[in-house]
Amino acid sequence: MTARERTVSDPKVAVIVFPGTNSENETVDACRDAGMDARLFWWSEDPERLRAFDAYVLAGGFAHEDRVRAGAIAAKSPIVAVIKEEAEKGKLVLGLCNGAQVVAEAGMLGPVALAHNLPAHHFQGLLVDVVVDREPQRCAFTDGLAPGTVMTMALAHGEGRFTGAPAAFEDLEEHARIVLRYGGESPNGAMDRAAGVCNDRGNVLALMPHPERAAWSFNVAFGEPELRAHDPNEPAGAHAIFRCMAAALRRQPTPK
Amino acid sequence: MRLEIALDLIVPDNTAYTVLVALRDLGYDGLARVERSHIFSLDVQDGTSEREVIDRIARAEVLFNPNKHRLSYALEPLRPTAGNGAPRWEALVTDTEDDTRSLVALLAGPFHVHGLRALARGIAWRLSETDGPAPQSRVEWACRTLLANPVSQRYEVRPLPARKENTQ
Repeated sequence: MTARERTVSDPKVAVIVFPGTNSENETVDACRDAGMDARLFWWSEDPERLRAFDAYVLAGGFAHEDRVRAGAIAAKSPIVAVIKEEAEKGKLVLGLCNGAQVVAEAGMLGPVALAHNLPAHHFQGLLVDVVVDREPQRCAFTDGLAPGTVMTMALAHGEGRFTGAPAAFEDLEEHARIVLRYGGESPNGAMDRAAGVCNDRGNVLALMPHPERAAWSFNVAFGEPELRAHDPNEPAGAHAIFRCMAAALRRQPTPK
Repeated sequence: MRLEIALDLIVPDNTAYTVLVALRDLGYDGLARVERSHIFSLDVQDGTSEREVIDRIARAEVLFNPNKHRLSYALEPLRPTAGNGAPRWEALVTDTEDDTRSLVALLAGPFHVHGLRALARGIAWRLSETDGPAPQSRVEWACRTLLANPVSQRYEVRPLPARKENTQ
């Protein structure tokens, strides 16, 4: 990883760990490489301590073993209740893969769900191209990227198909809330090829493919030959999501 | 013919236990036990023997694993279990969008479940309080609160169907 000294003014980010979370360390690294002061926050810690953070990342994995539905149990937990309250004040919340499922199950996106992949109906793992949609400024995590920017990310889920009523998706389209889409055909059957959906305010993003697993050259150089000549520890492609997050946090004061 | 198959774990069901703890945490203090079944509703060509379908499904070991499941079944239309006590309710939760065509092709093809035309799947939940089955209103509350996602799933709370145990 890129060595970077943290400073007291770096935005403070809590990376949430539930029993079964498995992407927390690379998420912390990706945040730190983007200039944020990230640390792990365990589900068993006092939820009130979360309020001292500027932003939250719900990391990928299988929270509570995905029992009942992916994200369903974690979404009912006291720490998610606090995160939801802080999000309503305007703090940034990034849900990655299982974290996106928690965000959706907690109702932070409105009437949108993440359901079993179709037609596969089982776990899929592959590198995918994700394309920045027409209004990236709509969302704190894509603001600053050019429309049409393509990023490689690691898709790894069995319940990652964005779905909802047609009217709900018409509303998402109308308000440009699908900020990231799969390039080409949706690998999991997601409606409108949705890969990342933000809330109406743009401070919460649920992103199914993992940017943190494709955030450095060494993650993707085998698939993208032009990166082989680069320092393998150099942030690449999907790391832009974390840089946008850091920039948004530096631009705006943290809501209290 | 429509045939409904229920698969219950004969090993500890960690998911059911998690639901028990979660529903208690969400305010259902009187909840004492949660049971869960995987449900498969099979659409089978008329004239096919019900016994043969069950035998093939059991032998295929695609849906059913004899080392960890108990298989029971009932012909549709389902009839409720008879009993003198309080009625027993079961919540059946299904995805609103599903695609089981490849599973049907697998069972009807290599595993010789002859006459199988279509299949629907879901999860059934049964709740018990310390002194008997949970009332219908509580089962519905559990569905709204945790067991079913209103955007991607539907649920039906129904009388517990009388099922025959597969003993072969």
